[in-house]
Amino acid sequence: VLSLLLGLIPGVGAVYNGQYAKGVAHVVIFGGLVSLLGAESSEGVRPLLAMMLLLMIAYMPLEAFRTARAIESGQPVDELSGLLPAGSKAGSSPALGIGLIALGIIILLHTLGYWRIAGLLPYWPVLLILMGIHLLYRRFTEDAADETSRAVASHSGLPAIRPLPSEPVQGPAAGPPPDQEPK
Amino acid sequence: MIRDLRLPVLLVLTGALFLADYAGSYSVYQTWPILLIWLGLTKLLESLDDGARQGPPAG
Repeated sequence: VLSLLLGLIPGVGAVYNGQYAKGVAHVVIFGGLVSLLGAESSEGVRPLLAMMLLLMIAYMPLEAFRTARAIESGQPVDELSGLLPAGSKAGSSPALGIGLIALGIIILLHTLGYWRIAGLLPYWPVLLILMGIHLLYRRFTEDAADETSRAVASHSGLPAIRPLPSEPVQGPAAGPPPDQEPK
Repeated sequence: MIRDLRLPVLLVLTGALFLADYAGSYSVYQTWPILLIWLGLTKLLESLDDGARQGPPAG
């Protein structure tokens, strides 16, 4: 409950859970959204920025609470958990890193006065398209991996490998039943 | 390796940005996206490192 309350203050909930990098990321994202909302050049996209800010205000305490519960139950928690897509594959996707670098460079060029973000703002739907393409790419690569696993399983007679089991499998151990002789 | 560097370098960068602000060269308001670039760089290197450890798919 304390984490839920502290999560209302940008970065503090994450720091309370020992996730310092995530705390800094929360502060940077929250501060960036507030700064952009206050900027004159953001007039056309203020509703979108306001919605993102509201989402961030709701997300931070909930994420801090969820992480605190995960820590209590002994689950491993990554330094940037919750900022990444769910699942342990999150850290292996370069899209987040590339996205953060691109965002950082765009904002840096704007704040240093070399280039104005205002010229780019009308093209914000491109972000939605890129996100959609990324999700489709992930979906198709996962499907291809599943099919490969099934094909290997059908040749070897073993059950198909299920990707990323989230809970321990209950029931009898895998393998032939005790009354059946292996061929 | 890169996970161990993330936070210390973040602190050094934050300190350097505030020093630059104090010196009057660049304000923190202008330079804070450097922190975002660093976080992105560490995530990218981490994912490349993970990919290298997993190696090419067998087959």
